[in-house]
Amino acid sequence: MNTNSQNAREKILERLRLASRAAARKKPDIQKKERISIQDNPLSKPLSLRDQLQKNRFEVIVVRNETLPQILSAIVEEIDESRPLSWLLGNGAVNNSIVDHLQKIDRQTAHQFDQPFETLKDSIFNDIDIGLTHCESVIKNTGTLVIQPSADEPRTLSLIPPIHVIIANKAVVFDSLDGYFAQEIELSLIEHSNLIFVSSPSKTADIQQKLAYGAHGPKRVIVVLSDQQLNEE
Amino acid sequence: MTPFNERIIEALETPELRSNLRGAMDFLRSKRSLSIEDYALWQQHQDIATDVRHALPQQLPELLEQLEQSCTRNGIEVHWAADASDARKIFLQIAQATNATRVIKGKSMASEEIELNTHLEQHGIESTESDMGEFIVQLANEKPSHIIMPALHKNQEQIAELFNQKLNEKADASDVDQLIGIGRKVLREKFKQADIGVSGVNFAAAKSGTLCLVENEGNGRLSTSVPNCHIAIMGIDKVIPDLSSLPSLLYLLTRSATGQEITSYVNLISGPRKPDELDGPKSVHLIILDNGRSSIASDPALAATLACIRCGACMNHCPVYTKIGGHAYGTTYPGPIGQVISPQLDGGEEHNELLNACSLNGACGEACPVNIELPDMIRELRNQRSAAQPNHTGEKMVWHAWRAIHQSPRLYQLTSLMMRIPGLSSLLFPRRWTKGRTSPTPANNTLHALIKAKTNHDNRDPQHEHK
Amino acid sequence: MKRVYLFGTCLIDNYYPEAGLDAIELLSLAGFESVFPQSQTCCGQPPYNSGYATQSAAVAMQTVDTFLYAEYPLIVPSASCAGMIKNHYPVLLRDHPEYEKKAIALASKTFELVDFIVDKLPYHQLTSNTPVTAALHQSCSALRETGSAKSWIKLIGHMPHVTLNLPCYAEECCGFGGTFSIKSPEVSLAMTKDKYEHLVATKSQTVISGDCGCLINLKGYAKKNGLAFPHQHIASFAKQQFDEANS
Repeated sequence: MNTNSQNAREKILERLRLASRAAARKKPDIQKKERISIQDNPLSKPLSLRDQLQKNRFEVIVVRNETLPQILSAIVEEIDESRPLSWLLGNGAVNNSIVDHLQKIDRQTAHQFDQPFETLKDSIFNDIDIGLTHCESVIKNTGTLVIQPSADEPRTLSLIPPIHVIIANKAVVFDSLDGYFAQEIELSLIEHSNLIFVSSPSKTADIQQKLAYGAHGPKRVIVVLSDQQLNEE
Repeated sequence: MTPFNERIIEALETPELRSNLRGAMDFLRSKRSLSIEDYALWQQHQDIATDVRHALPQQLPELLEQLEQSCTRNGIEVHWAADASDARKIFLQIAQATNATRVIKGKSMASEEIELNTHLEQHGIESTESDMGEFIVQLANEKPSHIIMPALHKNQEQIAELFNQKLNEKADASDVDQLIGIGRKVLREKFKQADIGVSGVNFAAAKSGTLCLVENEGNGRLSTSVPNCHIAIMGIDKVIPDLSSLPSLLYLLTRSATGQEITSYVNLISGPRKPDELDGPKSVHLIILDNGRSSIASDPALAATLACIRCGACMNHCPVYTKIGGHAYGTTYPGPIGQVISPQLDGGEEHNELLNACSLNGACGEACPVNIELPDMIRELRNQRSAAQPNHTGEKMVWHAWRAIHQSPRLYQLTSLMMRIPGLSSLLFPRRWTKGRTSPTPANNTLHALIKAKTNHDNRDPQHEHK
Repeated sequence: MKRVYLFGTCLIDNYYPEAGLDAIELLSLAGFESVFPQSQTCCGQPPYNSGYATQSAAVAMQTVDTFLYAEYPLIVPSASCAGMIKNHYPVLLRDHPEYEKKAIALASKTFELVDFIVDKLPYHQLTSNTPVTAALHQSCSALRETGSAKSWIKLIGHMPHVTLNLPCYAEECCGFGGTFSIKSPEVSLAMTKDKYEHLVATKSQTVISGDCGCLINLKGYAKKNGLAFPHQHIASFAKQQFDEANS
């Protein structure tokens, strides 16, 4: 920290300490007023995980006992593009095996994020159609997927390609954000310098409140879940 | 006429602006209202968030020091800026040290406060706004007119026209997807080229040293993931003790701002790229900006201003904002929170007149998710303003006289009688009222007189019975 | 009959005295005898909202003294003035040790008129009344200070012959706001114009409200522009319904 910043620091903290002592002498009551005109808009019942995710504009693929090649074929079918598609995946055994299987599917090319971003930057921005990541935690009532970028699965995998595929069929399902924060957040923060809670494809309503998808991030997000997670009868 | 009043009249007389504002406010109010599915749950979150945010002014010195330690431990470089000029210098130093020439920006009101873009451009550094709304506003050489929806004063025809002119595109006004596609294409190049990404901060957790950013577009993530260097700027009031209250704060923030249950992305950043990681910024800087906030903390009647989570619900529900829009205020923060915070941030005399543009209808206070009693604060600031006026000013003398009359039942009743002298009552109403409305005619008799005449009512008044 | 204090408020006193008399009649129908101390003036809200709390406090103390003399509940036919006494007196008089407690005591026995009588009126008398349509202007104070807007709607709800219309943007301010309408006249007038038009758009026979500030404001706008504005204080409207039933 340079001298200027150091001086500012002392100045700010000194003012705040004085203010804090002044405030302690005359602490105003917090008024928690009943907000008279706020009313419930009760839903008939909470949405199921699948409905919540679909409401959030995720494309959901549910798997039961399918093998990895079967799952990948289902994803390619869901993407439903006739042109050749270029995939980008992370590293590690699981991703290596997905890459091997993808290469065997028609018109699919798979690459791995195996060099620093600077080297791959142009190709990630220009050539990649699909980024694939895994996900370990899903939040039911908001329809949220927690992405934990790591050395194996870098941050931009889930961000720059126009389609994002999330393999979440092994993820733990939490009821609410509160539950996730109470149980998981501290550990996650120790292991990951970046955590992303993804609750829909990239979107914006900045032009006359009209909703448009694919503002800057992925326009489509495909989520793979297992039937057990959905817990549907 | 004051410049503020001139701007108000200009806004009122622009029909396109009026209808754009009405449409946007209708949209935002109804979305918020529909997003509150369960008022009891809303209140639970509101209680948690209110406690955390209102305790803040007193805890600030400890929390900021803790935040500094935690961030430093996580590899985030912390800088302190007492005012806008300090903050601008820090940006420039970081940019110059890394020979940066291009900056890409996520949405940040603190950066608006310090007029970062202008400053960087003056030093030959290109600075591009990447939030779609901010991008539109920057292209038009304007400032944001709303803290959440910066371009809500424009309609899609105006935006298409702007894209055609400034970007040389064949924009189709009827196709919002195409308009957004143009923005995406232009800005992707900027992301790719940028040396520095700038972001704001929604909340900064002191205990873990975590920066929380909330957004829908992904431009915030790109700004904080793609460039080599990420600089985050936050007002001192963005700190929270730890992440335990974050679910409640998010619950209220996204519903109050845009009526969303949650935004597309909640981004928690707790450090730069780790040695084994392949992407992410190699350096992360956090600039902690005071710029007048510490003086707010010292006034017990106004300290709760710092509890604000910048959701914009107060302006969305303000009938004055709905009529005139954000630009008329001439401040970084418009609407009720702007009326309260601007005179305090700048201590500026010129912002005092903003306090007049409020009917104390209470809609902002009711909409505030963290129980900031904005109407009470506007009253308090009006008190402070009048206390600072010399005794002989016209308005002060009027209220002195008013008090003398209304403190004395006899004078009050005498005045009531005088009001009934033909021609006198209209004098009570100044021209500024009678320009648009006729002054009311007093009834033939006062209620006092009617009751006195009708019954011998005084006898029922125990105060008289005892005399 | 039990006794209550009636605070006429300065606007009713000078501009709508019949609403004060009608409030007394309604209270009587509800089983209460009104006591109207001649020493009452104003609640002090105008300077309070304009940034002259000291001047306001002086007048508030006069009001406190007037209505704390006996233990009768204080009934106010105005949500704005009732809200001032209930919500703001305890804060305004906080720094006046002898008055702080009195202000809290007065606040706790103060009621907006309709809040007080809505469940106590002989609505069964109204069965053969002529149908009438009325637009309700809820007033910001009735919505957000006292919550009386709910009682206003409930009151009319007990009158099966009355069709109640709420204008669109019912929760938005009419643009009065006391000195706001003088200090920011242009934006105030734009708000008033909208409110007037929304009320007229309901095509009701009359506009009713429990706050005279709003009514004076809207009437002033209509008159200036040569427009009609049939309106009544809600107390007068309600009293008229009972009169019709008993005529």
